[in-house]
Amino acid sequence: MADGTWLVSDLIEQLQADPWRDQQPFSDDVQQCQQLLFDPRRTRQEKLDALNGWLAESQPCLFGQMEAKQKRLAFCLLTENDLARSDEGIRQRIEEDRQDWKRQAVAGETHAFIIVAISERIARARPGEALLNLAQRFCELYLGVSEKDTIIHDELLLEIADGGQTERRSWKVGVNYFSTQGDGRWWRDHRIPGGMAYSMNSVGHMARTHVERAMRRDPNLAKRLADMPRDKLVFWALPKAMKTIGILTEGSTRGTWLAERGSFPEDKEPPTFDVRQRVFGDLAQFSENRYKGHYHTDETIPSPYFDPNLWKQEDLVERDDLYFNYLHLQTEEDYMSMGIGIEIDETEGGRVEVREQTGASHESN
Amino acid sequence: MNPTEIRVRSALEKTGSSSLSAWPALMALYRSDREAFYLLACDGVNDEADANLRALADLANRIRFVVRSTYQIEPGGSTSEACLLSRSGDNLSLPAQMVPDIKRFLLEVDGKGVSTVQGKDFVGTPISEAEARFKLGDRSTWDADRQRLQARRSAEPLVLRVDPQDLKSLESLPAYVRHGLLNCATKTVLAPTVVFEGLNRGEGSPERLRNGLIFCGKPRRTYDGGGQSHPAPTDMVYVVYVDQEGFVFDWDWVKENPGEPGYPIDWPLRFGNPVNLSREAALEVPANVTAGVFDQNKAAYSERGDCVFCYICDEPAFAHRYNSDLTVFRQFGSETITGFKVKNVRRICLDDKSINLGCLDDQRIGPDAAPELDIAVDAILMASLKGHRDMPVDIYTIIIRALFRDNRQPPKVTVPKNVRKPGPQLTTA
Repeated sequence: MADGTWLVSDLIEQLQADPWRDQQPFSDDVQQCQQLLFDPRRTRQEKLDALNGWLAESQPCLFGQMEAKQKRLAFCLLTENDLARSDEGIRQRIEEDRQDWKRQAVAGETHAFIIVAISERIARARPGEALLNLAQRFCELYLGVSEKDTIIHDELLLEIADGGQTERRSWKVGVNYFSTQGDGRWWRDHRIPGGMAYSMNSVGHMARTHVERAMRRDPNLAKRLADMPRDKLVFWALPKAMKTIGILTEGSTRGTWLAERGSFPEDKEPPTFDVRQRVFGDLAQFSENRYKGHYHTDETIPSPYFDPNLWKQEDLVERDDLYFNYLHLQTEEDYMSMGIGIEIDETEGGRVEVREQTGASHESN
Repeated sequence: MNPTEIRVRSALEKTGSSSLSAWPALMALYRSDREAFYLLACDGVNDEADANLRALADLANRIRFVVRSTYQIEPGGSTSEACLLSRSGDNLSLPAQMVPDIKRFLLEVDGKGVSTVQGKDFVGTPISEAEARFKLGDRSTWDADRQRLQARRSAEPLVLRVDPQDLKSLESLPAYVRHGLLNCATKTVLAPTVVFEGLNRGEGSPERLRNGLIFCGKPRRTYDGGGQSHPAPTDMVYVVYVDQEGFVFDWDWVKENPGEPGYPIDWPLRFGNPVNLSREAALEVPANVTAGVFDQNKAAYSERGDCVFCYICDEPAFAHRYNSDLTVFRQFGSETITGFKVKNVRRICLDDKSINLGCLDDQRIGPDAAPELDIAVDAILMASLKGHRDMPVDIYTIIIRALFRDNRQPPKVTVPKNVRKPGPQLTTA
């Protein structure tokens, strides 16, 4: 136990406090959550509850908010006790919670997992090489790989009972870096209180679980969708994904935004505007294939987050290679599936509030 | 031959991998028939199957458990060999030239990897029952695993503190002692290598220490008087002493027990049994602990630890236990004596009528008597020798000479006449 590798411990020692943070204190919501997270008297469960509460109220991802409100997020909390252990000990702790997440997910109880390292020293650290090295080390301990600016994935399984048969499916789950350094910076939509985190969220797993549940509860819905291939019944989540990305408004500090439809080669008809309006509503004029942003939302560890000189939005590169989906959706079935989203949301508690970064808010559906 | 054996054989023959050694054969099997690989790993083969097939099944099965328990790959005994060590104690030999391929394979069977495809996976991919079983582990363990995680989550942390009197003493003690508290003691408590229950200080030692806790750990760095960190001394462990009320009163580097990593030397003599704390611990030290200036004319009495700390110089040092009443501080490297700690001060003073310290006895204190008594540390040191007649006196002589060097007067400490009233005890369960 005394032997082993201690890169995490060494890298935390190398972190320098962020002088910018003295001028730009944490937001009130982050500050309030951190008071509890950094209190050594609180149990892990109390810390998880505080974090879940923050995610339900203050994070921009609609899926994440919805899951947090329903208390369906799975967590791996790495406290100061864990961070003082060897890397092998940290890896084991992550794997124990990862296993628990996967086992819950196979029955559809959860679709998302957050690994969060709670440490005041990490939360107050200056973005830079040392912080990047630490982020990569955590990623390595979790996933065995840690290249920056690449798409790294985990996997989630689901068992679907269907008339005495059990169908089993697996989804690739994107892994995204979040940290407290994002609070007040251009990438504030990837901020999280307490330190540094990786968030795994399978929209496909969630969409399939919800649609199966909704069909079990509502025989009429099941009847209506009987002829549709079951694996197509997941695209109802796409309109919500578009709402999460949102529209770029004046003064907005969004890191990602919707692009006018027609901006990309994939934006071909069909579907017609009428069909799109039926499922996307006000967002029909925007591309359902790609969106734009200052960073790649699929990449696990975006290197620009760690560039201490990159903090003005004007200095950021605009990217247009951000895809909503693996597939180009255009069949009637795809759009029928999108149309059932509201019915499913109603039964699954999917109505959530979207807070714009400017402070304004609107309801998501 | 059972159906899995037939399937595996067929897949291996199709890919021409039948004659390969276990690792390449298994990876070839996975590439050509994933389901056969998962069935082989989960269900194995009959005892009658040929040796190659049994070896393949054994490796596949071990991979299933290795992936769950976590692992690391390290260089092996020769350049052509590497070693896969699992957290659960498995040790698998790997051909060194295959390590990159094996790493990728192990990640892939665990559902991890780098993707070149952008966008979210909405649809997913069908998988088999065996693949799900391989990836999720045996269902019979799920509930117990869950309960263990829940217990960890709901456990109340054990928050240790330092008595304000002991914090105040830091103002005149060597600065490295303060840095040790802030950096090494805190880390030791967070992630101990071992925790003992009960400090064996012999007869007449305070009960709150007999029920106290001793945290031992291996912090990565040690700290000098300027607060600069250095690599931790080799073959040493950091030891943090806690009374039964949860107050830390002493912390030192101590030599490690040979052949027992993370354990201090002579631990069976010094401490009770190792315990498994069901709660995590943290040491809370106020952020404003002042950095004082070392004063060799001052010693400190810790009422919590019932011990006197006296330093002759402020060089960073480790603690060397001489007996249940005396520990000596020795400089790292040279092992020169830099100070000492006399333990069981109340008992020593009460025992030694010749230095007229009997007034420490609770029963004899009248309402008008002074509540404290000033005692010279040399007197306490010499009195402590009485209980250890078999000890060579040279160490005492060296310390006494150092205390009187340059015509100095040895420092005095103030000992309260009344025994501290016991407070609420910490619970380790």
